[in-house]
Amino acid sequence: MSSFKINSDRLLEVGLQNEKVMAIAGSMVAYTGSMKFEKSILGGEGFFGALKRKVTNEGMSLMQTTGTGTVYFAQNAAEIAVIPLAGEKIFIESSSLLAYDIALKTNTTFAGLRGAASGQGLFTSTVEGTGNIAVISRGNLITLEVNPKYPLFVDPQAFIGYKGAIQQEFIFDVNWRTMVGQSSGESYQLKFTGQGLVYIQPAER
Amino acid sequence: MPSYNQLNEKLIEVTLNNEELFAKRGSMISYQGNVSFARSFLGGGNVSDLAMRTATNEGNALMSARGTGKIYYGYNGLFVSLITLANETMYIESENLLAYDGRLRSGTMFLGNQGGIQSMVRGAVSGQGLFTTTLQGSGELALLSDGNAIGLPVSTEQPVFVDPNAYVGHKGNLTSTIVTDVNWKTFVGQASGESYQVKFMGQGTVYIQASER
Repeated sequence: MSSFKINSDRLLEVGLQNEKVMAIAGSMVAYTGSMKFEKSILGGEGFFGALKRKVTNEGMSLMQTTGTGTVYFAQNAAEIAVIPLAGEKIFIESSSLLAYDIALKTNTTFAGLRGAASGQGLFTSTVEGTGNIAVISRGNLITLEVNPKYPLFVDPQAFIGYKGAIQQEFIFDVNWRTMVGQSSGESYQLKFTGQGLVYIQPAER
Repeated sequence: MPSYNQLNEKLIEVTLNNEELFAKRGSMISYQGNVSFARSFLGGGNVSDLAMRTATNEGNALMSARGTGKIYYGYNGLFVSLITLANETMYIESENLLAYDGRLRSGTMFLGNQGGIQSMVRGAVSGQGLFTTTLQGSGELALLSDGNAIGLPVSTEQPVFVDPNAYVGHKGNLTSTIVTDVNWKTFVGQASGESYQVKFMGQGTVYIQASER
């Protein structure tokens, strides 16, 4: 299986042994060995998956890297974190995804009101299976644990993704001050309940 | 001998003892001691070198600091790396050069002299022009990058391929050529975004930044 390693916060190092990895098109900064880069038209989701992405605007421009050696990916000097998945499913904004193991399956799902409030559209991407994914964030990625006793509230603009058995809900904190233009700037939050992990970044979109 | 000290990833401190230092204009943040700053036309080079810089647009707007004391340098919140040269030549884009001192000799290199037509293509592809700045000798220099700069070692057995837009400089005994990876998808508007790379061969280090221009 391809190996994912973070080289100094902002650079992802992927080792390939005649293997494939998917990454955002144009994110390769350097490589050693022999590599081929090809635009992935369907993104490994088949014709309907690609069509769905197009329609839902959760579009990702992906490329497939094939070869043997080490390839380095980076995007706009953003911080990178590797999240290993062991037969799990992660929900993530497509704009935060940098690269993932070819063994993983991606799809698009309905994100509900959350997407509308965070300005990220009504749909979100899912990645499922066993392998690594690399996530970009502005500032270091922060992992927060959610358990049934302690639900977690997150600002939609700082939200990046979640995994586990989690339900999400939309919370409004609107009072008379909001109406007279004296909003605290925190009128909407996401409430996560259940058991799992939520990923956020220390910056708001 | 000026001493360079990395305070954090975006700030360096240089101690001068009645010496002169060249730095990117506008990069001084604060200083202690008795230091005077002046616009530097020659940047440690000679007059023909200046003419070359002006003519080639590889003009790094430099200021010189002279005196005794400590000076702090940073630029636009960009990352700073210190690189030590041991009787080597560093090739660096002038916009990525933060500071160096008189121990290093600066010059302007026509890419065509170094790797022939291929290098010219590299300059044209990366939008950095056909000329690059060289620093030669033994001593330190400070490099600016968007995201931390990473030095990738190049050996004769293992050439390194670099995206021209992420390249900031290289040192050592390296030659470069342009590699294209163009296939039918490129022509139907489905390019992977990685159609050109620069291949570095030989013995040395290539510096890249974690972002593309």
